Amino acid sequence: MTESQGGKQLRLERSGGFAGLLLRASFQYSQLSEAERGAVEQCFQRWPGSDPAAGQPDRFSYRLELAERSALVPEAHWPEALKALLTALRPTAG
Amino acid sequence: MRSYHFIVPPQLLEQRALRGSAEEREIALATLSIDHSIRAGRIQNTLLAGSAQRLQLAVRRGAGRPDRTVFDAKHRLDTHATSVLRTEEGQPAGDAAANQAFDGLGATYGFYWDVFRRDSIDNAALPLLGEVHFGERYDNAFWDGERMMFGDGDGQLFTGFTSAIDVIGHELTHGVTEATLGLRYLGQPGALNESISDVFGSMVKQYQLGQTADQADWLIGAGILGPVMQGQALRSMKAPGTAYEGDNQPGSMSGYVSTASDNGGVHLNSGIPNHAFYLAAVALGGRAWEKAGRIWYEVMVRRAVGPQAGFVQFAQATTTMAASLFGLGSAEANAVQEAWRETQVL
Repeated sequence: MTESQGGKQLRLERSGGFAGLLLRASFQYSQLSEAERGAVEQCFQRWPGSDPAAGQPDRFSYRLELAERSALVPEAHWPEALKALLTALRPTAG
Repeated sequence: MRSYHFIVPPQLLEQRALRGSAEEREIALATLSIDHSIRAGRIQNTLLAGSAQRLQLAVRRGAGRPDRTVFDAKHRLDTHATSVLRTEEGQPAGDAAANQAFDGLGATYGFYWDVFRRDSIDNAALPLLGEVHFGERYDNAFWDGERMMFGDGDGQLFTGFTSAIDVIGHELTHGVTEATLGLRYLGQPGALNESISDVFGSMVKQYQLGQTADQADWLIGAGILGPVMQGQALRSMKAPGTAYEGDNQPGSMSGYVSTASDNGGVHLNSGIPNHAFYLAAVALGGRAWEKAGRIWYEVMVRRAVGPQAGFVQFAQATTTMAASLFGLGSAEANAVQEAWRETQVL
């Protein structure tokens, strides 16, 4: 973990699904486990960027943001190590 | 049998009608209208010739009857579950979700067969495979190209997805769209993809309830909301943006949402073509599938737009199709055009 990342908030957003609801959660990056931070890093490397991309109908997609970095992860590729983070998601307007 | 041929192929006329200048469009539409009755007869003859072969196939495998299997995902994210809960041959399962999914798949198949003589998603008797209890407290239902997955809901946002027949109609229609227009699931073509699923999902429900357009509630996902969701449904085709507290679907282009989320806002901006369909169906009266539904369906099966189509292209295609099916200047063509104007697409 870099010094700049340690005090940062990791923002997570779920969009899509049949309902198309927007859910969000945020986490203190420094409080994630080592395995979780490793999985987040892999997401940034494998699914970088935040431009919308074509997907499969009604599947969820997950956006991660940490400082200047972002990743857009298709549901089918969401890491098992980050599964617990999903329980913190709450509905949000817009 | 006498064969009629036109110097200008109808496909070219249809292309001109869709993509030409205003003058080209007017001429093409007039020509299409004149040759409509002759072409209709020719198409009918072609269909009759082909129908002998299809009839033989139909008799062999019982076209008009779905081939359904419902699997138990056992709360895993398993898109290839093998534990069978119900088949065509078996008795009702001791599992409410499995029976609801089975019935919903059957009702959707029945709608497409009865109304459009479409034999399953691919019009070639594709077996309908569903999985219930997908994932843990999973708040979603989706079609993955082979099977339809139903989560049980988390009990807070959603109470399940098998009880709403329009949800099942919506998901299976994604398969029909994939088999016909192949609309890219991003931005405006993605929103059209979503809208088509809502349009046909709603019609499946209206067909089952025997409702006319003015009797229908035009809600999507009524009855599946949990206590956290304050509202009556997920989407309203009649009044987009009013289905639940926080619903911000637009009903016209003035409210079009530009966003990177949700594949470019496909579930938000679908409110615009949804509302156009509602306006056309109600203006035409009767049962939605008889005229407005027929027009939308013909645009799909004739692939009148490409996979990247935006709202304007789809609006032009449905307007042209209405003129082709019912005549230039017909009430149907005018109603469709007016619906797209009211939603500020045209």
